[in-house]
Amino acid sequence: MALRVMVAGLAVALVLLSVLGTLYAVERSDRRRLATEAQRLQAEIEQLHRELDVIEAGG
Amino acid sequence: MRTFHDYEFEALIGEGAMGRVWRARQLAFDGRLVALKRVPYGDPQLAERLRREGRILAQLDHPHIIRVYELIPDGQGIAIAMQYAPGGSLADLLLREGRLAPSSTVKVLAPIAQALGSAHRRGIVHRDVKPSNILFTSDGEPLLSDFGIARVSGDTPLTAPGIAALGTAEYLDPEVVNGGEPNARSDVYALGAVCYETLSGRRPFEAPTPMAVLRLADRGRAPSLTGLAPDVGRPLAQAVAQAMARRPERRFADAGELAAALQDTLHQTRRSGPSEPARAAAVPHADVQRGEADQPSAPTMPPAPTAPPAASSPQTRAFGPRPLAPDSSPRPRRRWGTTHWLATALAVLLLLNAAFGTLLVLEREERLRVTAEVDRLRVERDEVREQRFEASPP
Repeated sequence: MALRVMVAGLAVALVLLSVLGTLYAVERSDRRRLATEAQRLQAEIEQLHRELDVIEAGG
Repeated sequence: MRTFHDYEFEALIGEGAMGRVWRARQLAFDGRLVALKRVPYGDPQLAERLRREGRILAQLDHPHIIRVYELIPDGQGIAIAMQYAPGGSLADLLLREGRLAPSSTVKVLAPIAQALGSAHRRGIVHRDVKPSNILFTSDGEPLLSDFGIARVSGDTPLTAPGIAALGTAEYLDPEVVNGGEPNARSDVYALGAVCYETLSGRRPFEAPTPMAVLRLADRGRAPSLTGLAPDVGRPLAQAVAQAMARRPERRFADAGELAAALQDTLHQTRRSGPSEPARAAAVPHADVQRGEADQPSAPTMPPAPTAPPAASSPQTRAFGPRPLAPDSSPRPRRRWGTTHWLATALAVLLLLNAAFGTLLVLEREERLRVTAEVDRLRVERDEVREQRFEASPP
């Protein structure tokens, strides 16, 4: 009886672990993608500011 | 007819490396039957062992311990005249019947436990309790016999080191195998194993070699008694399990306590009504006149699937430790070990789940923060881009 409960508990724990693991992997990859996007946007903004400075200096 | 001192030999009933056993008649007492043991000439150690057995038996005055009548000097050797038990041994009975019903088992083994308890109270450890050393009188009364390797506390051991000198593997206390000193609890273990075999028809640990048996006993746990013999009640199964506990301190302190526990199970069975079918009684009632070869009443129980190996009583074989017969049975499952490992694996998995759950929450919070930051940067970029377009020349 105890053995069966243990085996069932193990099965449930394994399924839960795989679900949590998958969700964690998705979240992590999403965050990394967004962080890269933020860096790209930051660089683009800096570039736009430099262009703006050049235009204003020329005017 | 050959005679020896006051005895007239009738038949050789056992012969082996450790000597011969004769059924003889004691002429001075109207030809009463005795078992006469003689060791071979020129073996002082065997002679000393027999002398010691005689001395031990003389100390023990119990109705369920075989009686010694006389120690007889025999040239350089020695002979011993003992109570003759014509009813055969428990091993013979198990060979015929397979197993005994719980009530019959208690009726046979509770008196043996009392006898063993009486020896324990005198500081005597039997060290070789097994079915072939439990004999029956003509009335079916059980007798504990063969104190050939028994030890009295404080005495110098006679036996040489080795498994055969320790006892019989199937009934040997794992503590003794691991170097522990044989004591009353070792006998309790052995009698517990005999109970198990008598109730189930199979030995607690069965393997092809004595060493494998000892390894199983040391590491494993015997298959469930109630699983093998469903008619065994829980109190009786618990008493057997306690007697056979792997750790000596969990066993009964001596055989007297085991006897009381066995008797209690009988009373509990009586109180709860007759749960056992009429097939129960199988204790022999051999007739002295028919001799030891006669069989008791017809079998009343079907043999168990695993028949015990051939065995004979110490009065029909050579005395001393019996060589072990190999037995091929599957290794019993180590349920506790499996449960232990499963529980450990479950605990590790639960910890991993908790860790991943925490990481997931933290990661999600971080992603939300970065998402907000990206949204803010997009707005900022759009604003700067607009300013740049407005500032650029047409």
